[in-house]
Amino acid sequence: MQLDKYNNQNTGTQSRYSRATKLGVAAGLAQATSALLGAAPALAGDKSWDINTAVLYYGETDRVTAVEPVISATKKLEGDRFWNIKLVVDALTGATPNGASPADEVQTFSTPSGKATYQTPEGELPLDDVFKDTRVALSTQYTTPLNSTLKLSGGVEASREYDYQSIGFNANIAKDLNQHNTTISAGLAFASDTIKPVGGKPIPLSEMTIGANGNKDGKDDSKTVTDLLLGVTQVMSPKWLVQFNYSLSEQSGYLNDAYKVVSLLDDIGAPQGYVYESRPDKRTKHSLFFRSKSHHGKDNIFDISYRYHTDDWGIDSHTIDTRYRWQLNEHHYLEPHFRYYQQAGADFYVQGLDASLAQLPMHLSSDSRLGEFTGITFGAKYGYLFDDDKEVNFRIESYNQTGDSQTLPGNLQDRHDTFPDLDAIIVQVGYSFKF
Amino acid sequence: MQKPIITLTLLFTVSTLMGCSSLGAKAYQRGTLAKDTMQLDHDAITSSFDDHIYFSKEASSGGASFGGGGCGCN
Repeated sequence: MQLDKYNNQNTGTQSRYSRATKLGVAAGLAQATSALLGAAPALAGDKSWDINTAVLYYGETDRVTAVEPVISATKKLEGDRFWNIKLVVDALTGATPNGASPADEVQTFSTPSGKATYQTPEGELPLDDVFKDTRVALSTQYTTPLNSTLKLSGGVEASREYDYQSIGFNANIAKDLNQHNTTISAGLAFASDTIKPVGGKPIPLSEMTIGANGNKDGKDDSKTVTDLLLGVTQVMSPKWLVQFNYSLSEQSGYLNDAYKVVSLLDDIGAPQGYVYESRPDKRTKHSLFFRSKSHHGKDNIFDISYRYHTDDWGIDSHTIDTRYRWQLNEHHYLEPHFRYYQQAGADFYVQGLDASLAQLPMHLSSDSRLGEFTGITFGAKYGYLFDDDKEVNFRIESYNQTGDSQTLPGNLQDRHDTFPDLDAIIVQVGYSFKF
Repeated sequence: MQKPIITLTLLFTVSTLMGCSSLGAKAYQRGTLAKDTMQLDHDAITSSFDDHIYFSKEASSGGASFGGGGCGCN
């Protein structure tokens, strides 16, 4: 989906107007769909295909490693219509925290299938190191103008991994107002996911049986995700535009991570067992998003956004994301990136639980992603632009998560790090061309 | 925390949109806005990589676009 600015080769005032003023519609729609399905880049002259390829490497210190190649192809059709198809492969290996807290002793856990066990040395955060998965996602999106100020876009996406599959669709509409200086947009997305945990679906709050595949009930379950996105994009000046979005997301169904447990600790902090986590089966999320993009100097661009997120699990978060594209000369650019993220933990997030409790809370999770933490990303991207619409680029960034420890029985948190930092490196190589 | 932020954001947006009489750009002033690099969806692949990473590692998603899903994301 993108601008018609190159379609009309006339040079008169009216044609310049019609080329340029559809910016608002395209921009609004792009935001409604780009993260899901990718957006159509501008296509110059008589070139009708735009191909974007990239490979991402994401590596956590001592934990998960992901390699993710992507290819996205956009075809420009007659009448300002665009068709995009995108394929993503995501290969994951490594170790992921199983939710249990560190202990003063060696701990033994069952693998998800229950067919084997693994051990965690004294004082270390337990990691399930048999984690391995490959995800393949295919999506397509079609965008068409309905008239000079109205655009419609729709798409479908399907993905599959060993224990998870998903199918979804989205529809978006955007209307230009105020001589194309204002765009209002609305989008709706729906996804239906099926989860098929290795070894079966654990009974929430039941104990992990060590060396056996007990306390499982059924093989699979499902969840649905419905998203609504309302947006306004405003051209502020010839070099500045802003965007404001409200989004609502409803999740319903099986929202647990089937592989996560919570430690039950005695009064000196020694593990007495591990129970499977139990999350609510519904979640409603709201986000407010504000973004500003402005042009400075000869050809530099400052892009900054803020997002406030809140949901009925008690997770509030603030995100600031900023990039500065510094066009060094005709061929080279450098783009530093900084992102700050801070979230409050879910109401039911714990790092361990007193084993002497007469009754466990109804909802419980030790998944650190639901905990209170701060995430910082910084790095930069470098790009080289060839004369013939080709570009190569390289990005390297660092991502760090720092969280706090909760007070646990026997003051376990004083002896061991119950929320160790997460350190990751992000490397991306991209190549794009048009023909 | 929530209400003041929402109120401030709305106030800022409304005052920004209403307070400036020369808001916007004329047709002949659109050269810069029409650049590839000024589009909100420029570099969609990097945005989708970032969305996927942070969807997998944090409890918030979406905002700029749909919150997404379709991923076990351990």
